[in-house]
Amino acid sequence: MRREIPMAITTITGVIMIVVFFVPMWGHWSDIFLKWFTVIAGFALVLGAGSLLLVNLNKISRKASGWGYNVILILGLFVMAGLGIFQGIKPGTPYDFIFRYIFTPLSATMFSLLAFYIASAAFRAFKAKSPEAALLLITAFVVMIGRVPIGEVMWNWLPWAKALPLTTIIEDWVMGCFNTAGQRAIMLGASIGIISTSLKILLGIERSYLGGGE
Amino acid sequence: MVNKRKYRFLLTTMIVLAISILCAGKAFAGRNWSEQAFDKQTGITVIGAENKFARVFGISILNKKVLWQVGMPQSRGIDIHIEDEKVYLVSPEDVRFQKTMRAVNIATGETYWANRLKKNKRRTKVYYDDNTLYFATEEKYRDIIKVKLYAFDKETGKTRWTPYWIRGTFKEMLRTETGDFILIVLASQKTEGGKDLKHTVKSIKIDKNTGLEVWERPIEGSFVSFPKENSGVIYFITQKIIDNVQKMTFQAINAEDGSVLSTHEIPEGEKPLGDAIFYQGKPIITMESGKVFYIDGTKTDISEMVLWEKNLDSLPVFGPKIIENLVLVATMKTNYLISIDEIVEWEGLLSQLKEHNTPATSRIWELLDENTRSVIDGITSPEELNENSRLTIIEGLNGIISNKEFYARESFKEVKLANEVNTLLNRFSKLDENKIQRLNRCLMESILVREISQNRYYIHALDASTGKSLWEKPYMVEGTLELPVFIEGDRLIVGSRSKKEEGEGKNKTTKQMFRIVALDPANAREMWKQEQEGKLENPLSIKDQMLYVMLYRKVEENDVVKPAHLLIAINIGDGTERWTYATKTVINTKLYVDEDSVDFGTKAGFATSVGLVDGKNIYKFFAGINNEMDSSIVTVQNLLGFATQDGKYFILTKQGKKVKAFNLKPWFALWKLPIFIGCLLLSSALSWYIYHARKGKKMFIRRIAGLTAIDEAVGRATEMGKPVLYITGLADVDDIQTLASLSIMGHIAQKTAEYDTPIIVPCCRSVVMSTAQEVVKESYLKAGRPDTYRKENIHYLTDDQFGYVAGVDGIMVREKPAANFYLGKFYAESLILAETGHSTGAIQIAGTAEAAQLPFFVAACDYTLIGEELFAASAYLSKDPQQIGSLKGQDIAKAIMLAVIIIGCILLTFDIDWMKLLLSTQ
Repeated sequence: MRREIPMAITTITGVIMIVVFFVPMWGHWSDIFLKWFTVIAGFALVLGAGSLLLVNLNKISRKASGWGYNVILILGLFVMAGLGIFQGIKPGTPYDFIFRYIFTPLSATMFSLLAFYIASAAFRAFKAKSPEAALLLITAFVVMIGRVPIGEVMWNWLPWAKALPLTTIIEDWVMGCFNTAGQRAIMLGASIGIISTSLKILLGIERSYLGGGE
Repeated sequence: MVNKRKYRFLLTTMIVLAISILCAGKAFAGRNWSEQAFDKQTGITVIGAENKFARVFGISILNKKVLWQVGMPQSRGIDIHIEDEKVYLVSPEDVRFQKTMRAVNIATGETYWANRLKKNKRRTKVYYDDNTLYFATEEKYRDIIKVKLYAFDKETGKTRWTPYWIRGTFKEMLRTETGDFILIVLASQKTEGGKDLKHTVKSIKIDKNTGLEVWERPIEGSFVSFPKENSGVIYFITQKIIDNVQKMTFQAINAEDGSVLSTHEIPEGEKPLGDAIFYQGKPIITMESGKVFYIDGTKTDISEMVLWEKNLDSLPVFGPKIIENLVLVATMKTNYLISIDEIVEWEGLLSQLKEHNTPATSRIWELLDENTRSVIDGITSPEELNENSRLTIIEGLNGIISNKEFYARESFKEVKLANEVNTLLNRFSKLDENKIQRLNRCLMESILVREISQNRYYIHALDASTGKSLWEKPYMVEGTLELPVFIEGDRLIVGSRSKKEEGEGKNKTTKQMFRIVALDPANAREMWKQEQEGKLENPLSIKDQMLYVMLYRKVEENDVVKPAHLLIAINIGDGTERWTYATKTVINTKLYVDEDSVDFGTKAGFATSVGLVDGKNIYKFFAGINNEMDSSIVTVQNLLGFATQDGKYFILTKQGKKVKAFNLKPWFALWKLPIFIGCLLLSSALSWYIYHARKGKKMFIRRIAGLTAIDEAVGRATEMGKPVLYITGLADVDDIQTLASLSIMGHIAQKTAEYDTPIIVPCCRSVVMSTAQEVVKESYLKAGRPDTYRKENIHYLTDDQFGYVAGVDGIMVREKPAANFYLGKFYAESLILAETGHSTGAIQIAGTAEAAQLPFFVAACDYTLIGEELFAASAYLSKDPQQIGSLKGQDIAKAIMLAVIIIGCILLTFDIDWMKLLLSTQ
């Protein structure tokens, strides 16, 4: 029964969602299921917070390396929750202040790392070790040059620039043909994969998300 | 047995297909309704659903019945016209294979005639004559756009004459007094070289009886104001740019023969504001400079042409409005110098200047000239102020307004400056003389808040026949002019908004106020004034000398601030407030003012009715959670009807009792039929191969390098004595990529259990964490090592994207896992994770179906599962024949898709688009 009941729930819910997609008359059922999911996820958040506490308190008690960070994490968890519960989250509250002036800049800092990582990844990826890599390098160079103003200025010096604008090459040809074709091929394959996986889950063939096994 | 199963499978497939087609045949309409046309005589309303493959319904409110329904292609903007028990329906677009025009019986829905106008892309205008329906449309064939004018016999639906057509796009169509048409098109013609298209605006007259062109007049430039026909003359203004200079031309064309009656170049810098209005057949045009002209376009001589000219000396904000012989123009003042009538409180002004005890007022005092200072010092009480002393003070203040040095940071520290001031200060070095005056005027208003008027808007009233001002001086509007000025009965109604500050310090709040003033149109004398908190959103409704105003505002209830509306009924005669009705939610429809009630719908799903006399609630009908009213309300006898957003049509009594509700939503979304058939074919292929795999048929599965490397990665971690890190992505468990990832994780966890290597799974969603714990636990159990399972290794981090990235990066740097797996749904964090992992020297295997993230993984990881490989991984790793069978099914589906793409490409190359139409879900 540990397997059968979750599988039955999955199959019934899945079939209802498919039917609802094609039958607008029962369209509100999808909203109801989504609300159920939100409720379940709300309860699961307690589990998440519990897990977070358990792992971090454990590290603190063991004085594992960097346990000071775990103390800060737990402090942050309780301070933010306390401020939010007792003083609200409206603009002007301490919660809002911490969110705006500590959390948001920290998030932005993490995101900005991406710029440097793109540079280092591009440096490795664009080494012309083989004919394919060389082709990739040339294409990337053309696209990059075409996306900056200086590229267009340089291109316009060429005699054929008027007949063949740089934007035509990049937008219409490289991005419009090769890139779009490649992306669509991946998306088509993935879509079929999604349908296939969904069907396997509905039919109970794929059970590993339940812990696998018989 | 095998054959029986085979037949059962085929039979089921066929039944499902047949049911879907049958359902499709009986499809109802979709959601969102087009405006309904109502026939009061029969009590039948005709309403169209705005959706793909939409339908139009005939509903009898009196008999409480859906009488009929007909299919129309996409009824968004459908033209519904009821005449002599017939309903004419004209669709804006030709979608797939449906009829685009119909004439049906209003009571039975019986179709008298139906036509399909192929390729029509945009309905433009429909005119109904006694026996002819004229229909102008744009048709698109390949890349060629044609404007066509059809004339259909209303009885038979047959065309009366060969449709007139011209290549180009539709601009406007006018109808002359004789009933002929003037068609304005942006016509396209090939140039002499035959390569490029040349665009010219053309004005063409078409005979209503023959459809033949009477005359054609090319027009140079593009339209600034669209042509208006009046008394046989077509007036319009065009513009063209010559040597970067904008040239505008006013033209008048004789509607009879197309001859140009007059052409005049508009002086440089002048631009008309809005469309012209007409008085005795001649246009009155307002220019942006504030000049108003009354023109006789038939005169060629400019001195004879301008009948009168008036300079309002300010910037018009609304085009002119004409009521009988009264021309109303609203303007905004552009002269920033203070005039004598703009001083609201002389006493306060005098005391502020005399005392100058704040840094800002002392700055004013500092810059005042000696003469003004001595005049102010000489006045001991406000009674001593006379005309001369007032003028001297005004002159002194205006001297400061023109002074570039007025703003000094130190002096204005304590003054709350408006946003406009800050914007101007940021561009201080680039400000011209006018802008400096504007800045200084704003600064002055910020200091002398109560003393100087902050109003900018004026209403001017001119005599239409002479252009002379009818009032002694223009009416100064308090605050910002809000609604178009109009006259009702013997009152000129002017609406404006302003902000009102209440409280002090931290408790200071700013309220949005709406003000209505009624003026005497003869002399602009204020008859009454009403001020309420809120913001006007909908146009005002008027009935029987009563004004119904709907104001938007925020109300606080149980500590929660939420938006709501306030409904106010004001007597236009004396301005008394008859009643107010406060809603606790937002009204999202127009106000329907009936004989004895005001009806409206709310966002929360209530249909509400308020009594006209007492403003008391007659009824509040609940249509469903957030089920907004989505059509106009029609009333007949004691009943009313309206449609709601979720596809229902309600008939209520005027007391709010539900009489009937029809669910008009379709049983089957016909526009999703291609998806349905596609899914059915794919499912059939998958089921077929799963069935064969079950029977033991051997199937080949190609080697996927990324999956083969899993053993190598786990083995390496074991050798190094380091843990394995597994990331399931950012999505929750409702995403199929997360489910695929959890499946793969089960296999990897089994391997780590066998090799006795720890696996760390930091999760971004708590539901994923719970599921992942179960999956890993089961895998350890299956490997026979439940004792080595560590629940705390599968833990939750945070839901926040970059917080999660920071957490995972920390684990990578501290724990130095030897193998990292990134499988699931990823966004911008993909590269940050993969690059950090790369820097720690771990072997990395990634997989996602997010095409945008794949390049990052390819660049930074050792192996990448691309798109479908992520979903095939579970089958590959489990070697379960049923799952491998599904892979074969996927391949067949891909082959079908490939064939469809190739055939579609070939057909479209030869301009055969039926396949595109068939597969389209639009």
